[in-house]
Amino acid sequence: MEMKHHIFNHRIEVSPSLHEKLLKSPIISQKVSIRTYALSILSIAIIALNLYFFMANKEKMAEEQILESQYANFGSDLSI
Amino acid sequence: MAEEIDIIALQRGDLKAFEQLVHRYEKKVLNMCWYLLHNREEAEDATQDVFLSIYQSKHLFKGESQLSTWIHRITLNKSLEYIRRAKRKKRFGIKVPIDDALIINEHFLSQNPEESYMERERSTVFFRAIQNLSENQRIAYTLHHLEDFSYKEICASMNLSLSAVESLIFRAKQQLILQLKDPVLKNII
Repeated sequence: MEMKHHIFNHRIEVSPSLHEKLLKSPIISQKVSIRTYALSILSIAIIALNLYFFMANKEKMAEEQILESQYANFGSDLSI
Repeated sequence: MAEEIDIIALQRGDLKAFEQLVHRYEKKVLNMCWYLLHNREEAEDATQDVFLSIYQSKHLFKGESQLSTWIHRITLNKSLEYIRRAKRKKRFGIKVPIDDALIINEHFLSQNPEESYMERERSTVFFRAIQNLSENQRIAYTLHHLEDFSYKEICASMNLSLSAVESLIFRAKQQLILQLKDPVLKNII
């Protein structure tokens, strides 16, 4: 078998702290999924709230638009 | 022997099986990341991401390939993510440092100081030259020469045909020969 030059034999060792972190992957994964779940719910809530205020504002704006138009006082003065 | 891990238990979320997997593959994954990224800190972060991905997507492993091939592919993809991130950082003027002082392995320690210095210099030049290869050339060359992957394993990990892998390694060697001036290094490529 061909002998490999030692330059190709560099290896780094896994430090104990890294090993610990790797073993904690399931816990981290759980935390990440809880965070993702919470963030999605928060995002949906924010979008729903925005949509609600947008619709309410739209209605209000339409009302205000009518009040500011030439029809605002329609019927208030019918004297000839 | 490499496939002793109880995959069904792992997919069920069994912590013992995951622990076993960490013990079996942590060094391999870390070194693969390190060879591709050449920065210990980045390699450690990438390794953490790899094992997190393994745990999160364990149900996606269908057993069509070997577990090791699946893990290597995840490692490769994560390392590529880090390489691309480093490139983006570089574009914005943030440089991700490359480890110059490579690991002093037993071989270096057993030599006299002058020889040891020369070897370290050589090693640095060699690994810097690898960094200058194109992304795919670097991966194929690294997996074959530094990680002892067979061509077949590289094909499976990189999702490329055998001829493509052969061509990548051949071109990588040509590039390295052009880049390296040291005859000792030219001989070992």
